Amino acid sequence: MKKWMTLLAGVLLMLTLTGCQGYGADGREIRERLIIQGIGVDREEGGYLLTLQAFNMAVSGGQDSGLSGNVTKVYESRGETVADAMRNVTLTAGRRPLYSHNWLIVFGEEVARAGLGETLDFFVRDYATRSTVDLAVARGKAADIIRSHVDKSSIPAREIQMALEMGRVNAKTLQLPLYRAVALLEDPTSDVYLPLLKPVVDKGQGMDTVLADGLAIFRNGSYVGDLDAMQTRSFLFLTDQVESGDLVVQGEPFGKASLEIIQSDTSIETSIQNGLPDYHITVDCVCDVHEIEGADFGRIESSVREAIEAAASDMLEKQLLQTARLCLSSYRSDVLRLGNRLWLAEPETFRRLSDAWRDVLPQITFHVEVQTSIRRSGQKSAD
Amino acid sequence: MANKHQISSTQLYSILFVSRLLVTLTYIPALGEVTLSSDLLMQVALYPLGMLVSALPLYELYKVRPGWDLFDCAFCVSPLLSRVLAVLYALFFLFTSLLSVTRFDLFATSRLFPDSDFTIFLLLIILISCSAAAFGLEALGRLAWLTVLLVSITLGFAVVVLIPDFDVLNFTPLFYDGMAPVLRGSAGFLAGTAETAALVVIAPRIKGHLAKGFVKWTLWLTLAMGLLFLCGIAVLGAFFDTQMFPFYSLAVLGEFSVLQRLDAIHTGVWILCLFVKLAFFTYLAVTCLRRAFGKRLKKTYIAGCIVVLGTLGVVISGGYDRFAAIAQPELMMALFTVVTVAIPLCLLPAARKRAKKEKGETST
Amino acid sequence: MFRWLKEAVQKEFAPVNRATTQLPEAEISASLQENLVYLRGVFGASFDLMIRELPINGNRMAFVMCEGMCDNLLLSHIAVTPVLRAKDIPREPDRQFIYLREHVLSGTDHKEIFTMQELLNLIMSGFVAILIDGVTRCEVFGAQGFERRSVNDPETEVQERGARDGFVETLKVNATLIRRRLKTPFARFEMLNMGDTSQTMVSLCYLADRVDPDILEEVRRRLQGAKLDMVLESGYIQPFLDHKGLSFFSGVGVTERPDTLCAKISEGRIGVLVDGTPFALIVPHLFVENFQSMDDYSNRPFYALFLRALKFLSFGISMLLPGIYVAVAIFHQELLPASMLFDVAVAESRTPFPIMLEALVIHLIYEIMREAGLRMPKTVGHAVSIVGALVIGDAAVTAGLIAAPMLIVLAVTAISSFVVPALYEPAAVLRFVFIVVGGLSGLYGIMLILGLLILNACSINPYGVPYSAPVTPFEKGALRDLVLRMGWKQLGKYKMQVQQLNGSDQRAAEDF
Repeated sequence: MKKWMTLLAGVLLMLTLTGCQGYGADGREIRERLIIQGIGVDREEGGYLLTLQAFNMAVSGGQDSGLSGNVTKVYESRGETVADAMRNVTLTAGRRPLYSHNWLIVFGEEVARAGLGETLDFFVRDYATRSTVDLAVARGKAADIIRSHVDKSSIPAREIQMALEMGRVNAKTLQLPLYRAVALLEDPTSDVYLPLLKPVVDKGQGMDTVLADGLAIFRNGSYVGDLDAMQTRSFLFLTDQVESGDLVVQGEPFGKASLEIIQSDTSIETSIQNGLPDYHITVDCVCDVHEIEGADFGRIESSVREAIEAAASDMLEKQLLQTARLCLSSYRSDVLRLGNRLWLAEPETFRRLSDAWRDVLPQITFHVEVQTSIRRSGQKSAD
Repeated sequence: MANKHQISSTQLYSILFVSRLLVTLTYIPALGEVTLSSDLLMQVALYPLGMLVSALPLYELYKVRPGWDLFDCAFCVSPLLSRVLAVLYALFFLFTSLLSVTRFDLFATSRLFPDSDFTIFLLLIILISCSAAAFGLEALGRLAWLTVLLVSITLGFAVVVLIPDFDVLNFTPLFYDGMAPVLRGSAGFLAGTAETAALVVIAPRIKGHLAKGFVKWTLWLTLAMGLLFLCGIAVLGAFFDTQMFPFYSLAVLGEFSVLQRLDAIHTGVWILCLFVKLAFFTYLAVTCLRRAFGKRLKKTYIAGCIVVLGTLGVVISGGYDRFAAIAQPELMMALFTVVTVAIPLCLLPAARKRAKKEKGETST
Repeated sequence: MFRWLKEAVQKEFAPVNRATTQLPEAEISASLQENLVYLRGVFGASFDLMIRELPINGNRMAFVMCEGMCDNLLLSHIAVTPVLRAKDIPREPDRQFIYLREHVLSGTDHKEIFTMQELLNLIMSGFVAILIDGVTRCEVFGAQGFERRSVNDPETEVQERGARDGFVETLKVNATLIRRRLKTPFARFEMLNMGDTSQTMVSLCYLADRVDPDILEEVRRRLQGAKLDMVLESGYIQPFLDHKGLSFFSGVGVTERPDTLCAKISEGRIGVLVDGTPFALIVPHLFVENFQSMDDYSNRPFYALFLRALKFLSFGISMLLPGIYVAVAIFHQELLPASMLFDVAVAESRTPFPIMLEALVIHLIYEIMREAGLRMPKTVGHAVSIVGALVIGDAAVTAGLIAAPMLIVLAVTAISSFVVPALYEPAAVLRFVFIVVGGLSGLYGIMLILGLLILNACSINPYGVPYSAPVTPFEKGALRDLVLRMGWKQLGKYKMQVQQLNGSDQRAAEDF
């Protein structure tokens, strides 16, 4: 009897779960979905302009499917809020949006300056968006980024996102997923930073692509300044996010050398000096010599190697200091999360200073110490 | 009584593990104590202490006469008390089921299907899970053991995959706001553990060492909770508190090459946990009711439970406020104290006296 | 008030009383004539009763047999000719009887009977009866020569490395196949007759030193209590041996191989052989046994481990893959990797049917084709495969009726379902259940129904042994033959008895 009951219940489940979604799940089937690959958010009068890049279902597919040529289509929609604009996409697209495969959300410069928190709210609150989607800020309008063909690639948004991923390799840009951005925004003392994207159009060569162009620095959720490529690299050193990259060092007697970063570790020690925090930043960088002028393709003597190491350390120290000053004094933005470090190391001092933390930032002192060591020099690798 | 309806210790504690873990997985920061991230870990660290201390009265009562459950001990005082307590505990177990189901309903309506009506699915979960209680404790125990495996694999995968994203800076100094919030939070965790009360009914049926199993269970639970909270804080940082169900967000994040957005699988496993939990507590409630009102009409009791749970579930579902009203920390703490600690403590002297009398009778 | 309605309904559905006509218990009469008249009367117009009357020294005797059941040449060699050539036959009927039995008739399989019932039973089993006028008993001896299938490859259970003999329809031959492999006196074969009309021989075989007497008694009790008219196949008595209550899984195993049966018996199980069918039953049967086969024990452990894992995976695929595909395509598109998502989306966008319907239809067509292929005569069998390939394969996809990914899912599911043939039935039906559930409620519904299914499997205790043992209740030792398969040097050290598995001591069928 009890087994009948359960099996009957199981049958009921099967038949009446339509209440959950409507039969055939009401527009949720895969063919009825607008599979969004990239979103651009711009400000307009009276609200927002959204530019969406989505799969174009009309394109080839079928027997010889495979992503040849651009398979996406760009949609535009307007609305008073971001959510409203999202809904209005269905007016032209005729399909329900599917956000789960979205690669990128780009914010226009204006939106970023006005304050990221308001715009991000939809993406955090809505249940269907992925929290691992990458965010970026556009120089100018986000629509230009989303509309770009990125050299006629099949899914432009994905190409852009991959360029951001390459920050792992070149240490001149980075990826910041949504949840990390929100965590930084929610944190009382830290500030968020996002990669910058610049559209590059060369009508002569027919090139239409997007360049990852440094970092956008925010303070209290608003875009206040940017870092160029070199400064971004320094920033990555300061926040221990360097995985690989290249250093170009100049000096005697080697002329110019290019070092490949193999491994880099940064440690920051917090201490209090005159009631104010003082940070001692130590960077340990292990490199290989990638390319060098004036060494005859041959062995590098130890004196030359030491000279290279010293020059690299010197250069990095200067660059790191400069970038840190820029962020802390000029932008007054705690993207380096120094507040969190102080909180962990010296809770009482933090308690005292946390209310006006951003005013304290320019007064912070820090020392940078870089140790570069060369592991291998390539040719004739007895070294 | 002895040999008939026994359940092995491993299986029972598997059920309890799954049941309690579900509460953690559907943790709502807004309902917990407002603590800073590292203090949450301290709360978890204090949890086993609280568990062991609060289980002492039960254990003492059990030691008096291992073949008796709490109602037998209450019988020593008066038969009426035994019946009253049975009804009380039945209501408590039903309340726990209601809490789990409405909590899950809140989870589904806010994170899974916000734009559709979840009521029918809710009713069907109640119908199926409660009728599954008819399969018996042993079968449930076996299923629970498999569920433990499944949960361990999915959560283990998520945690391992997220290790590269740990950020030390997401932690906060310990006891920054003092000890009080930590203690309150730990008490909150304790109050969410209705499973200790389950031992009240099941203790005599365990084949195997009760205390050893309990300690092992507590430790595994602490480990699991600790790992979850550690991962949540280290990866999500301040994002943790903004989310209604942060562990779901964590599940969404666990990716490894093409295995992305596995949250559907995690949620599926959590639904399995809910299934086991509901079936178990319905079973307990029905057992108590049978103690109070007679052994027949098992199906009626189950049907009754389904109706009660279904109605109340529908009434309370569909809004955070109503759920928060029944899930208030103070209410939970009060219930926990009464059901798990106070009642066994009060019955202890009477039970001891009776046991001594019987021992005296048999020896003379 | 509604009692009349209830009674009317009950009368409508009351079982028609079809009691078998029982022959009155008749003793063998002293008069030969009377016996022969009785026999001819019982057999009626049936042609297969053969009676050869002979004179013996002033008396009359008769050989009685069933036409076609006996080997005439053998009969004449061991019985008729010796009788005809016998000298010195005494004059008295009783002494004649004894003289014939002890000095004339050759043959080894002799029995003395006193009732007509036994005589009828035995001559219909291929024995020859000798009736002598004036003697109230009868001697039967075996001279079976009916057509029987020779011992051949078992058709349904193919093993790479196992023996090539399988059971046949004759029970005695089957028993011999087992006895040859288990040369221990503890191997016992108990005979029963089942079926009021068919009087089929059923044999219980077990190892007396390993079997659990309680289980054995239970099996005996159930078989003897089974009220059946005809027992033509072991499937008829399977429900009587199976556990009570609904389940997709059976607590009784079936096998066509003598080596498998011997292996099972040596673990304390009981085999049931049924005359007239090559399929033997084994009780108790556990879920994990569906994934074990003789080949596992002949192959090297690492390969056997790989195969076991493959079998578990295949079962999962054959049952769940279509449902999961439908669920993911409708509700959980985020689970698909991006490039695959595009291909699936484009493919599905060109088909007219909703995905769930498409899945149901295509799987139904597949089941139709499979069943047709099974029943079709071998000469026409080729047409099925061509039609199948054309219809389902190319044409449907090109015409845009079915999406290619769905076809791949079907193909993988179909192939996987043949890896574990014992579980083909539940997998086939559950597949449809999961498609519907997945299409209506996504992965969550599938999980819920899966939980219910597992719970159902866990709650079965055939003969007190937990069906889901040794997975849960977990027994570390039994692992060596479950997922892994340790080498024989370790396996050989341990003798498992099924009644000693973890959890078997809880015999409570109900748990409240």
